[in-house]
Amino acid sequence: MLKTEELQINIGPQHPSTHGVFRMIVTVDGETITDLKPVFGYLHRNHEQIAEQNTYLQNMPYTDRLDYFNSMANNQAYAMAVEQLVGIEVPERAEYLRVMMVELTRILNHAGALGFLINDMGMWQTQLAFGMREREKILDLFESASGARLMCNYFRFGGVVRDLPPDFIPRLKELLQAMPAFVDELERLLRENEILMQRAEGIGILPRDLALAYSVSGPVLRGSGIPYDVRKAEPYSVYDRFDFDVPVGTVGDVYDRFLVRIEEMRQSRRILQQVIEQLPDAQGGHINPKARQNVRPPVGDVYARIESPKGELGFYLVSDGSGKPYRYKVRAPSFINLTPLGDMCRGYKVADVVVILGSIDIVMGEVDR
Amino acid sequence: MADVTITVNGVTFRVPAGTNVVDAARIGGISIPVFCYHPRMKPVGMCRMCLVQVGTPRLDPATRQPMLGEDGRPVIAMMPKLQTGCTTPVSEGMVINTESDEVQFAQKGVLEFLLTSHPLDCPVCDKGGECPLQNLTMAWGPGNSRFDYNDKVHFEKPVHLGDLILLDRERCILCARCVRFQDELADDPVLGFDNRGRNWMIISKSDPPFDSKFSGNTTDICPVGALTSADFRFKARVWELSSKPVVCTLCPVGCNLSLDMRYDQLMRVMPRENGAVNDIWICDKGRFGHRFIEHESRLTTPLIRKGGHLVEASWDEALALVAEKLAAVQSSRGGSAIAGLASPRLSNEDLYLFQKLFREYFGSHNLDHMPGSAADVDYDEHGALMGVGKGTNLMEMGAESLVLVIGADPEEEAPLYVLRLRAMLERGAKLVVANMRPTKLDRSATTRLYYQPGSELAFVRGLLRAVFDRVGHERLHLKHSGLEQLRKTLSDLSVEQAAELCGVPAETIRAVAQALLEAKQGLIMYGAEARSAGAGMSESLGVLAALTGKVGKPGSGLIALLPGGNSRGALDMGVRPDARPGYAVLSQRGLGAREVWPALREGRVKAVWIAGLDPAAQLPAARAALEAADFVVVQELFLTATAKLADVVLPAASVAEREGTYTNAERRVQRSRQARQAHGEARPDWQIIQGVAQHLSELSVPVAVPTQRVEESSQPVGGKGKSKGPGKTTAVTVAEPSTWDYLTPSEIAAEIAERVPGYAGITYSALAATGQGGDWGRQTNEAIFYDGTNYENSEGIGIQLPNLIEGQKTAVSLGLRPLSKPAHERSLLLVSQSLAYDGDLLLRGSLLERQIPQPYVALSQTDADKLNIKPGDTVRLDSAAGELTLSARVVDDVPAGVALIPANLPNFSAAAVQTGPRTRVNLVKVVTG
Amino acid sequence: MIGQLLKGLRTTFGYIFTQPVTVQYPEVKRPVRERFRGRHELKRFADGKERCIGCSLCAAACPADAILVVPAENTPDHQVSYGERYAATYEINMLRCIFCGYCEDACPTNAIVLEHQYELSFYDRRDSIYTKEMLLVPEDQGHGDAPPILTQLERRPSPPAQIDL
Repeated sequence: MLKTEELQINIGPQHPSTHGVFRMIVTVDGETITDLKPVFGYLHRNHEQIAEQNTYLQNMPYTDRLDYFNSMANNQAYAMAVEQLVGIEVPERAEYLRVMMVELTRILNHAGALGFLINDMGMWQTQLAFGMREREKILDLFESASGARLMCNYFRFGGVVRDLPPDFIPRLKELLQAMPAFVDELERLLRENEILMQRAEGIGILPRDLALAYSVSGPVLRGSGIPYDVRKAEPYSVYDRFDFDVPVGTVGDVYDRFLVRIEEMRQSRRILQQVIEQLPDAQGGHINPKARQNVRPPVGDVYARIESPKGELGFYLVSDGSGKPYRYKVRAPSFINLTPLGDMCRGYKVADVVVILGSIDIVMGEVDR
Repeated sequence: MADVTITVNGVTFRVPAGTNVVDAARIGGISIPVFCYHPRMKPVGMCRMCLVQVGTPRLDPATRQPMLGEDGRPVIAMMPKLQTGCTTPVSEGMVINTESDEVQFAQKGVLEFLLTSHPLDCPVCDKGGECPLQNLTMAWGPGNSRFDYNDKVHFEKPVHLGDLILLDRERCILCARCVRFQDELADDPVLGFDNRGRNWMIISKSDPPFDSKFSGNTTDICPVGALTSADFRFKARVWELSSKPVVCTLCPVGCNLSLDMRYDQLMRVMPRENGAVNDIWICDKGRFGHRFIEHESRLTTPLIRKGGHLVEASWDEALALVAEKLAAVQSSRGGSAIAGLASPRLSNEDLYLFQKLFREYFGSHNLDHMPGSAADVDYDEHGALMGVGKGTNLMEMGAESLVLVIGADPEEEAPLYVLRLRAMLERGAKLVVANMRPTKLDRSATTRLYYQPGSELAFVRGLLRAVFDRVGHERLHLKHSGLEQLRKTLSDLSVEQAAELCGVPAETIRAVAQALLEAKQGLIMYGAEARSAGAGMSESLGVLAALTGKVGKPGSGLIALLPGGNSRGALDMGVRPDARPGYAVLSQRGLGAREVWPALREGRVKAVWIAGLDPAAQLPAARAALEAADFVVVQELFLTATAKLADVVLPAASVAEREGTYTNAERRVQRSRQARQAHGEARPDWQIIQGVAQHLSELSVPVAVPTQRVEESSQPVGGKGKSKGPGKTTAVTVAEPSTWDYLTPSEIAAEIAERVPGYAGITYSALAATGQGGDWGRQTNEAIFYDGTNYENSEGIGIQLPNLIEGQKTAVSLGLRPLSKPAHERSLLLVSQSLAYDGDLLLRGSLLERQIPQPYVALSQTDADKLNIKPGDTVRLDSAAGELTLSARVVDDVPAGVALIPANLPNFSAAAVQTGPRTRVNLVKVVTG
Repeated sequence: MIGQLLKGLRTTFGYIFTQPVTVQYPEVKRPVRERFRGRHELKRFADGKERCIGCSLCAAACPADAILVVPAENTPDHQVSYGERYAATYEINMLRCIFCGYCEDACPTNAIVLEHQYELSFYDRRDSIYTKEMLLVPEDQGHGDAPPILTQLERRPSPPAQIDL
């Protein structure tokens, strides 16, 4: 037995595999990780303070920039918070449009996340390009509806800013038609794939109890076997009208999270198909015409949450009766899901760190705010 | 007054009797929308917006007791129709409903009618964003209008009501707030209504149009964008502005202002509420006269004279040169060869450091805050000694108080006092105005009297004698000395003799004296024309206040209207040759400004440092002296005539670019904040002074600790000078020479608080307290009705200093100097009239510049006839000092025997003829051709 | 092992015969959708007058404080837009702009429109300030008649006869 000495190394903040400016202080004993300390804050940009200087409406485009993969989901959580604070009714059609956009977001997020995960495993860009190709189709839909691909700023208090363009639904149907082929191909190539199994199976296990203790959410939590999904646990918007399943993993390793995400894409497609079927006609209105955007909510506070693709995204707002939030707090899933990284990595090899990190699926814009 | 119980929308609470329904409901937190009603003015019920349902308990005709219903509660008799809340006073048991369908129907109807002709041009309207009509339409208005959009009445858009105020007749909702402000509050009834029906409009009735010093306030209180100021029109939107709290330095009132800045640019000036100073108003001089701060001719870099020309230099270079030159003069000729003049518009910190530098480094007392003209009046000390007591608030004074205005024209010297005095009158105060000539304030006076020109001192002596005859010294609660001398002086002149001298009937003098004695609170306000009678005037007024017991208590005392924004501060800080800070009289006085000029020419003084004064523009003597001087330093905002003669010109920061404290006429110290970045490289005056001091210490100039001057009188006494004889002298501990490393003005203020008597406790944090700032402002339920009226004072209302005799152990000298016989060698008395819009450097670049008159001499009809002078004739004035040619005006308001000239006009100086504060002149018509 | 390799290669060869989904930017430019929010333009009316009336509502709506409007007053000799006010200075800082489109929403005259131009690179930060000259469309590209609300703002003479319609 060789006598070894512990060594501290930095991964990041500038590193291709850290998904942004993120730093991990890793203590290694040879190749084995004995401790890992995540260091956040390199992308801190005073998001919450800025939001407290802005009017409620002016914050809507700022929420786009939290998790820039899922601007629609961020919009929805924030819009819901303000609507609850003010007491704004949302027309039914608008709710359906919102669900449509957020489920599309879920698909594009998972397509991207899986692509990046495989990229992190050293299988290079092929899978990422696959994911990006699908994501691109959805971004194109977003662009035609909202005018922007990433920073959509599509939601308003009481609905969405504009109704769908005329060709949106046909194109969406086309996309959903082609989607199983993509997901199946993805699964066919990767499920039980030798390289993937070696890098993913049994790696980065997050046991159930630890997952609960760290209050992680989203695919990470479900990968650990806990069937918790805000859409089911506390149905918001019109989610109670849809039939869908919540996939869960068994072990809680990287592979389980991978499988959960693939299945969630399928479930989102199911929801989207139901949305198209149930979508009220345009007379329902895409926005509540009585809803003022320049809101001055009554004094009070509110916490609104949704199941964003990354987990539970919540906005906590306190109003002092003025046109600007007195307190604006984001419960960011990326941030909270990242906290158990040290426990997930302990005992594994240095090379596994980037894979485990990739399986959590973070966006630093949301972690640091 | 007793309280009455009322019920508004089912909520019962008590309000003071006599309150109107609008204010009463507001006490209970219930809003009744209003347009024409304004709490500072009498209600008129013109706009009908405040219609509410009102009911009173039904009285039993037999017993006059409220009838009780079956449930045991009084039966309410609702009035058959809606009542205007603003004109309905509350009564016991009144029931008011502000939310019923009927009321809402009326409110919607009124707004729909108001909007029938109101253009929907909010995006271009300057009021947009702080417009009560917008607010009320959003809150109470109908969603749409049944009127034809194309049926709106259109007028030509802006009409100039005056130079400063423009009217948009389409937007006007005819609430008459502006008309009533001018009639009731400002007493300039220059606005009125014209025409009728849909052509009903506001017009200006005066010539020149909208002739009022307070016209800007009408744009504030206008509930729509009908009145806009030429100064702010289309400059910015109100929500882009950030308001910076500053103090006005243009006159001794010290109004609290809000400089509304967009980034670094001044957009407009708004009043900041301060009940003890300016309430919610400001005058036009303050509102429009702050354009100097970004005038393009402001100095931006230090200038050094090289080869006869002023060339740009670095600060280091300029300060080093100043230090070197001054040190050289000091070492060769002694500190007394250096003189310093500092303007009364500088802050207390600047003035304190200025005199500290001179006294500590140079050992020189050659300090002054006046330009050194022959017309400079004596230092006013009684305004501090017998000044208004701590806690005086004109807002709270009314019945049982009397204001004696003597030899002053507040309209021109300190305009806002007109509003404040008139508000006191409204509350029942008495106002006695005594002047040599009619002023605008006379119209408001309860008693007005005119003494013979030049006889104001005789008039005051008459008053004193009348008071003394009646009560003797029994109301004199102060420790005093010289009572016998006073008795003797007064016995020299009977009331009748005084009456004869001053031309005011003896009964009137006795009546005024009696009124002053009867009033519980008495203020004596005196201005430039009174002070030009000499130091004997303020002294006599001080004794009058003391004898009548109007000293040392809130609401009583003297208010001296001194020129500039901070003359009181300059006196307090000891920027004068004969006293240290806190009126500590020096046994050996230095040279005042008036002596500095000859001394410069004679070579007794070699170097002079002028901060913010421009003597060369007005005084040929100063000009010659500065040309003869070895070394002249000028720190200024502009390249003035004086600065052009300087060897080093240092650019100073204006009031908007620095922090500082200022002491106003009522001895209230107020803090002004920085509103914008430095203009070019300009630095605050205190930094410049400190910079020179630091360079001096680098030259290792020994600090001139004035050991020989330790013997000083610690007794603060006024105006006696040497005639008083040596006072109680004590050894004053000379402070350790300081290190001159103040980082902020607050550190200087802390030192002032420590060292200057009376300023104890005046720290920046104490000044920031808002305390009883006023009951007005952007309170939540008031903001929408009075939006745009003013700004809430969140930055401090200042602290009033105690006057020097409060808690003072030393006795007040009652001795009076003898009454001098007026000389009559020449026929006319030359009187310099202070004007609000004069040649003040600070008016540069403002719209008020157009209102500065051309030089003239005004004569009475009598004198004009006697001398055969027609208006517009060219006349020549000659005095013992010289001659002056001017254009003549014949004015009704000028009494016979007076030649009235405006003081301090640009490019005009009466110095050629002035022999002192009072000059007698002869006047001849110049026949040309 | 061999089987899995062949399975993978089959996919690879399968993609040889499909069309690429990428485009060769910058030679080929991807068309944007109708609603795309790109660079701003200041529009004009058909008669060449500027639509912008200098009301600064866009600047008020802007969450990023990217817009500066300095208004000035129209004179009869210099009538830039309808009504009394026009924008003497109109600047957008493209480094601050987040292309949220709130300025469009806030504009009462549809003067500012986010158009489809998206290539906004510059070598100097100072070039990120787009001035009114850069943003304003040429005079011949105006469209539409001024709505009544704006024509109403025009100065009209006030003889009583004209009021009575």
